Amino acid sequence: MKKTYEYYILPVVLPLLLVFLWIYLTERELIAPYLIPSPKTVIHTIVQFIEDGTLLQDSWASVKRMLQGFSLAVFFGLLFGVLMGLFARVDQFFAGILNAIRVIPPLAWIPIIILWFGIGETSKVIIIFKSAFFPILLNTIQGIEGVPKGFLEVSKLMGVSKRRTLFNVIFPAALPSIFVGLRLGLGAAWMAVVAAELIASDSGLGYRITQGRELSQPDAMIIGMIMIGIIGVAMDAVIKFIQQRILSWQAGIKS
Amino acid sequence: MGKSSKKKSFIFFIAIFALLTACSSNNTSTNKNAETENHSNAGVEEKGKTLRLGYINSTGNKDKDKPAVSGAEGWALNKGFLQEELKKIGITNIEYFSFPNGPNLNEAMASGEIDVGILGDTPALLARSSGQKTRLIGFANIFQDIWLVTNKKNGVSSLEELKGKTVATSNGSYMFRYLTGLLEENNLLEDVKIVHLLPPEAAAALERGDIQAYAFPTYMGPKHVKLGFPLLHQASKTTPHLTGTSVTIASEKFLEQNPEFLSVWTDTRERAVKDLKEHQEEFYQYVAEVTKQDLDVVKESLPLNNIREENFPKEGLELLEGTKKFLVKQGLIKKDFAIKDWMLKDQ
Amino acid sequence: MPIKENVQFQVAKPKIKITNLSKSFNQGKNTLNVLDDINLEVQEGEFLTIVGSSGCGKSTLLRIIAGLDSSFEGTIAIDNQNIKGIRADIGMVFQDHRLFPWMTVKQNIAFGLEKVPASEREKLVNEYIELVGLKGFEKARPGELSGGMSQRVALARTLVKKPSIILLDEPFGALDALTRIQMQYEILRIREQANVTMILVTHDIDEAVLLGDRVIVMSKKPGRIQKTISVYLSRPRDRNSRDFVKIREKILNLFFDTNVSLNKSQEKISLEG
Repeated sequence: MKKTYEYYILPVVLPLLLVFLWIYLTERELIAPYLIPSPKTVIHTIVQFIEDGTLLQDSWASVKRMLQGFSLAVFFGLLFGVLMGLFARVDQFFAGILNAIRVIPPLAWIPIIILWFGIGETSKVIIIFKSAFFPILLNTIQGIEGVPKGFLEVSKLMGVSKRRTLFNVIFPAALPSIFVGLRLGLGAAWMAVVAAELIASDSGLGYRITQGRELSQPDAMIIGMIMIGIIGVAMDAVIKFIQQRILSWQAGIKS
Repeated sequence: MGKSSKKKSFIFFIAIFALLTACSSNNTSTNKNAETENHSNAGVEEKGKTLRLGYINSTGNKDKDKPAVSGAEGWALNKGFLQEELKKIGITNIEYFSFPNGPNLNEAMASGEIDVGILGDTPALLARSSGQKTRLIGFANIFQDIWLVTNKKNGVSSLEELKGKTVATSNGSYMFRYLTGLLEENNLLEDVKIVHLLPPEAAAALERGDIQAYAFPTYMGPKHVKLGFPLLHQASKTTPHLTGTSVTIASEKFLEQNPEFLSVWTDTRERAVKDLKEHQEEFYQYVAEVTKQDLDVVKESLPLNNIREENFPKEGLELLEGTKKFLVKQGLIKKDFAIKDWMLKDQ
Repeated sequence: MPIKENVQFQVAKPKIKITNLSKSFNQGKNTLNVLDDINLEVQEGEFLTIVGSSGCGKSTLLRIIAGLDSSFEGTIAIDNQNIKGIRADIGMVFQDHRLFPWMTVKQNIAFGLEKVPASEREKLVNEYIELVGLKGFEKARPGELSGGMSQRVALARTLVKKPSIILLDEPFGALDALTRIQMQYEILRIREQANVTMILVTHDIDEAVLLGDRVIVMSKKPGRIQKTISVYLSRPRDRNSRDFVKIREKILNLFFDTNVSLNKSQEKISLEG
C-alpha cells in the first residue's frame, strides 16, 4: 500500500500544483497573457496543431534530425572510442584536436558551420552530431580503459585469442560505461535540436519555439517546449529500458 | 612550503574570479540586443525622467556616435527639436536601443525595458494581439517598400520559378507579411519554403544557393540590387497594398506616467516633417550618415512622399487594416482587435 | 614425527626450477628489492605453500611463475625449459574470483576452452561443475553466487583446462573464516582427483601447514626465502595434533622474535591462527 503512494501519488503532486497555479494566475490575469498564455489558449492551440498536423510534422522533423545526428555520433563515437581506448597511440594522435573541438560549445560552432555547409539539413545534423559525439566517445574510452586488469589477466592466462578477448571480455565489461555515454549522448542530441533549428528552419519543435517568439505567440513557444520535454523523457526511458535488459547481469546493486 | 603556497594561490584565483564576476555583472544588460547610448545634449541634468526609445537597425552595422534613427523622428532628434520639447515636460534624458528586427523590439517592450518603439506594422500588430499593452501613437512611414531579390547563379528569373524552392526573410516582419501575401496571391504559398534569416546573412545564403530569393527591407533592398542581385519583384511597383508601414508604439504605462508626451511627440514630429521637406539634401545626408548607407540607396528607400505630416494618414490606416486582416486570415492573429481601440490620437 | 628442515626431494628433474630470481624497482633514490635471489625447486605433484606477511613478494613470485610479469633477473625453468611469458599449462586462481558477471557459471568455466570442440567442451564443463560441487548452478550468474561458490567456479574454470601447474594467490583470503576452512578441505579433495603441481600463497600459517607438503617461509625487505619446512604429516591432518601445533609454532616464531608459545602450549587451547 505504502509503495503505491510513493510510486504513483508523490510524483504527481508537484506538477498538479503547478498547473493549478498556472490556471489561477492566468484566470485572474495576475500575469500578462503575452508573458504566460492561459491554459485555455494553450490547449486550444495544441488541438489546432494536432488537427492540422503541425504537431506531428514538427515532432517528426525534429526527431528525424536528431536520429540522423545521433546515429552518426553513435557510429563514430563508438569507433573512435574503442580505437582510442584500446591503443594508446591512436589516443594520443586524436586526443588533442578532439578535446579542443569538444570544449567549444555547439552554439559557437554554428556561424562557421553555416559558412561551410549552408543553412540546410546538413548543418543541423552536424550540430546535433557534435553534441552527441563527445559523451559517447569519452564514456566509451573510459569503459574500455576501465576494464579491470584482472579480467585481462585471466584471458591472457587462459590463452584466449585477442579477438575473443575483445568481444567476450572487453566489450561486455565496457558496456555499462558505453551505455552511460549513449544516454548522455541522446540527451545532448535532443537538446542540440533546438540550437540546430535556429538555422533557417521551416519545421521542427525548435523552429516552432523561435517562430512563436518572432510572431508573438507564447502559446506556440510553450507547446514546443512541452513537446520537447515529453519526447526527451520518452526517449531516455526507452534507452534506459534497453540498458536494463542488456545489462541485466548488473542487477542486484540497487535493490 | 608547497602546501601553503598552493592554498594561497587558490584563494588568490578565487578572489580574482569573484571580482571579475561582480564587475561584469554590473555591466550586463538584460536585453542582449540593446545598445544603450546616452545621447546627451549639452546641459542635460540627471534629475529628470528618461525616455527609452527603441528602433530597428537592420543593416547589421553598429551605431557609432549617433543612433541610427531615420525618418522624421531621427530628424527631430538630429535637430534637437525633440529633446527641447521633451525637457519642457520633464523628460531630460533619452536612451536609445537598437534592434535587428521587430520581434526583438517587442520582447524589450514586453519586459518593460523600452517605453516607445518605432518598428514595422506586422510585429507591432502581432504583439498587440497577443495582449501587449501598447498604444499606436502614429505612423512613421507609409508605403514602405520591400525588394524581393534573387541571385545571379542558382537564382530564379520569375516568381513562378520559386515553386519548390526556398525563400527567406526576417520572420514576423512587414517583409514577411509582404512575402507571404505575394506568394499567396500567386498561389505559391503551399509550394515555397519560407525560412527565417536576418538581412545581413542573406547575401551569403543567396550566393551559396541555400535560398533562391530574399525579401529585403529599406536600405538593404536597394543596396543589394546595387550590388548586382537581380530584382524579382518590388512591392511598391505592382502591389502597393503589400507594402508595409512603420509605426510608433508606446507602452500604456509610459503614456499614463507622461500624459503630455503624446502631444509633444505628435507636434514635434509634424514640425520635423515640415523641416526636412525644406532641407531635403541635408535630411538624406543625415540618414546616409547614421545608417552608413550610400546616398542613392537612402534616397530610393525613403521617398519623401511616404513621410506624412499627419500622424494617422488615411492610406496608412488602410494599409494597416489590410495587413491585420491578412494576419487574421493566416491564423497568425488569433484574437482580432479594432485598430481604433489601439490608436491613441492627440486631441 | 620428526620435523625435517630444508630437505629437497632427490629426484632428477624438478617440475619447476627457479634460479637466482631477483626483482627490484626504483622509487626515486631508493631501490626496492621485491625479490632477492630466490632459489627454489618444485617437484611434480608437490603441493607447495608459501607463507609470509604482506610485502614479502610472495604474490609477485607467483605472478612471475605464471608469466604475468616478465621483468625479472634470473631464470625460471619449467620441465627444463626456460620460460619468460605465459605458458599454456599453468592455471591461476586469484583472491578475487574474477568471474565475468555477464556470463553464466557454465560459460565462465568454458571460457578457456575455445580450442576444444563443442561436444567435448560440454562434457568437460559438466564434469568439473560436479567436481566442485556446483551441480544445478550452471545457469546462475556470478552476481547470484556467494563468495565461496564463486571461488569454486574460478577453480573449476582453471581445472577444466587440465593444467599441470596450478598457482593459487591467497584464494580464500576474501572468504569468511568458516568458508575458508571448508574450501581448504575442498582443495584437498579436488587434489585427490588429479596429480597436479600446486603452489599456494597465503598469509595464514594454519592454512599453509594444513595444505602444504612443504611450507616456504618468506621474509620481506628484501623478499627472500627465510626457511623451507617439510610437513611430513599424513593427510587428513588434524589442526590440533601436537605435531601440527609444533610446526605452526615454529613458523610463527620465525615472524615474531619473542618466544611466545612453548609455555602456552602446556595449557593447550586450540589457537586458530
